[in-house]
Amino acid sequence: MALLEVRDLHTQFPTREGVVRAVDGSSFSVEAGESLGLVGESGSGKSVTALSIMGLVSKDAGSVTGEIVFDGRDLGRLTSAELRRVRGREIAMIFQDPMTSLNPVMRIGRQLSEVLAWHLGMSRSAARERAIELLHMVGITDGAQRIKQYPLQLSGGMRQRVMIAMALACDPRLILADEITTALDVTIQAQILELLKRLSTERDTAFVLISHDLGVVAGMTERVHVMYAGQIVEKASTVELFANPRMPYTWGLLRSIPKVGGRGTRLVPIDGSPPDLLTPRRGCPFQPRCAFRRSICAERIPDLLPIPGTAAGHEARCWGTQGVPDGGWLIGFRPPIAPVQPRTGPTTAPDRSFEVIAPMEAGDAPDAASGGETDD
Amino acid sequence: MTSALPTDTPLVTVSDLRVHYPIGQRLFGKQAAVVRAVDGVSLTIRRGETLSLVGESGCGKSTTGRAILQLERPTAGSVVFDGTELTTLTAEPLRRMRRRMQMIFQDPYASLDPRMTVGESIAEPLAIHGLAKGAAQAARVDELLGLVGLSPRWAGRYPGEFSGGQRQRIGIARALAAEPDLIVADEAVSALDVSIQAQIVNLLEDLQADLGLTFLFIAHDLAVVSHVSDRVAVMYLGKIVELADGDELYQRPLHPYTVALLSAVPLPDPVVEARRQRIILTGDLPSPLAPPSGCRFRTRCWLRARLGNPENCVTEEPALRVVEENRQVACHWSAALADHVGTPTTSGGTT
Repeated sequence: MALLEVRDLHTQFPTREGVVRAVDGSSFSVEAGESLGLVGESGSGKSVTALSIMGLVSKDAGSVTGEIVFDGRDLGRLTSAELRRVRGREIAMIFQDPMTSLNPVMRIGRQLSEVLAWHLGMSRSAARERAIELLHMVGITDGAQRIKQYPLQLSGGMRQRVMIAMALACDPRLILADEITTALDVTIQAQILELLKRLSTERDTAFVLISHDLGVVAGMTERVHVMYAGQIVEKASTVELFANPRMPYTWGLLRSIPKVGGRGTRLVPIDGSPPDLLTPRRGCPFQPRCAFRRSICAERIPDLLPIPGTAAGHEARCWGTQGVPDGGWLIGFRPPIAPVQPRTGPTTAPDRSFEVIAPMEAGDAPDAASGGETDD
Repeated sequence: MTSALPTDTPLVTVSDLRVHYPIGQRLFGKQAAVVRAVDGVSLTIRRGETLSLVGESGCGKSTTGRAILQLERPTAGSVVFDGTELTTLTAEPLRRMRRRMQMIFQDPYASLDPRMTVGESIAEPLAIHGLAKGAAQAARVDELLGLVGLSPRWAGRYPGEFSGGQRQRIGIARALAAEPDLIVADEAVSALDVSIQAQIVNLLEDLQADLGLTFLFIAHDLAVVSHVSDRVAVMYLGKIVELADGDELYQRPLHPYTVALLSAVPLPDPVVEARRQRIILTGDLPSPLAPPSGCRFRTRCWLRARLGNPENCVTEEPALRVVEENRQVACHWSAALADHVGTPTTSGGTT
């Protein structure tokens, strides 16, 4: 049984202009210890998915329907007291902006101890000791001084470390990490991602990494789900998704990314604008921007289904990949997606005078990296 | 960007530019603390090229851009724009000069007046610089909207009715209105989603080719910078640490900070990512209030650690010196870098 099973999640927000369908029928699961990436652009429903799982969508603001089963328990049926015990203790969430998620007028130590006292019933002094230990674990070595500080006295990277320490405080089984490095500089981002990867491996913690950055997801997760307009439009293992993307929106995303060393090449943007979640839709939400659409696309919404001839678990929500009458014209089609350019980097094994992310087991041949034919 | 013809004639020459901000009060003549946001930047921007400034937040890249345009008056140093020294210009001649130097901002939500129609916003620079009036002005607004890929019919709408990418197009149209020579684009595509970002990057490249624009492109995203730049200047704590042709810089960085910065960029390829070795800088950027002595990067420098912490990094500030044609680097030990970086990792690509 999966650790987390989300079935047909719908999260809607009524507004004066109409109902915003932020999440529109998502189903996915996360196994224990697994890392899953949710990628998509603004408004694709990634963050609202996480908030819905955490029960953080206020009833006054919107409605959440569907099943969210965590470790055999349907979170939607729990009382708020029961949910509070799951939240923070078994499922923890880390947000993008640590400045707004930390209490600015409470010392770091007290914020960490609060979690420990609330969920684990630790005494004040035990919680203080543990808080220092947790800070040490996330690479803050002068914890005894830091716990006396306020969030404003810390740098952005340091605050995000505190957030991770807080998320790990109760040794959760699942972490929902929502754009946790988006506000950080690239060198600090590398530190934070390495930390999340190392700690989750050590403790066998599953995480869902929500990001708009395909590069972040590529290096951090085992499986990826691509979201568009509140729906999951493609699911695959990370290696498979980047090597053999099947859904035109995923192609569009991959072709839009500027590559290091890409001077002189031309980006291929996705035409048009992101979808308006207010407009009642007919057909595939991506179809107005899709270069591969056919008439069926505007008529009916495709389901998320396995794609004939691809690895197990590879699914797409696209008529072009489905073996139905009028469909399937994209099965086996290889779009021109330029391979990622190689980059300069150190090849010698670095010594221990600075931290290094050790490469994971390289099980695949380097050739597998280029997704299909190249166009240049 | 692509097909414009960068020439060797500098459009802008910046020499030893400094922007210092005193903070706190001067008590009894005591010197206030000084933030050295930009601390001795020298560079030239060639006509028709795209020069990028990259670096982490707080490295002084935006302040440098603003100081070149005299939006921040520099504390010291000189900025010569097409033969005219800007730092000593008085308000009126500077205003006339500004027509030729425009800026595109990061946040298309904050940089347009929400109570002005798009047409009014774009017409404003035309009126200020006395470039067009009446029917000619309206025609020019329509032309500018067309140039950035928007319908002239939208001139009467308000910024709130547009998406982020469309607002950035409006910001670009406004910057183009005065027919500038130089455009400073400060994180102009950073806030946009990747599919829209690609549209705007292409638009900027097309405009440069068609109008012969010179760009100073300020960004933290090295992939975007790599894509658009002829030359790249890497900044760290108010100084340029390396300046080189874009491709050269990415292929063969000569400063340990550039190496670390490049190695931190996540690549959208899981196979390459899995085989990559990263140099992860420890700690945060030091405070620009009290930058480290000698080389400012030394407190986080992985190369120095490997070389057994040589003393001159602490005692002597490395000058930005020309090491090869079109390459400048500020590191005492850049010659030793190659031994520790090796040849480029080739994987995942065909080149």
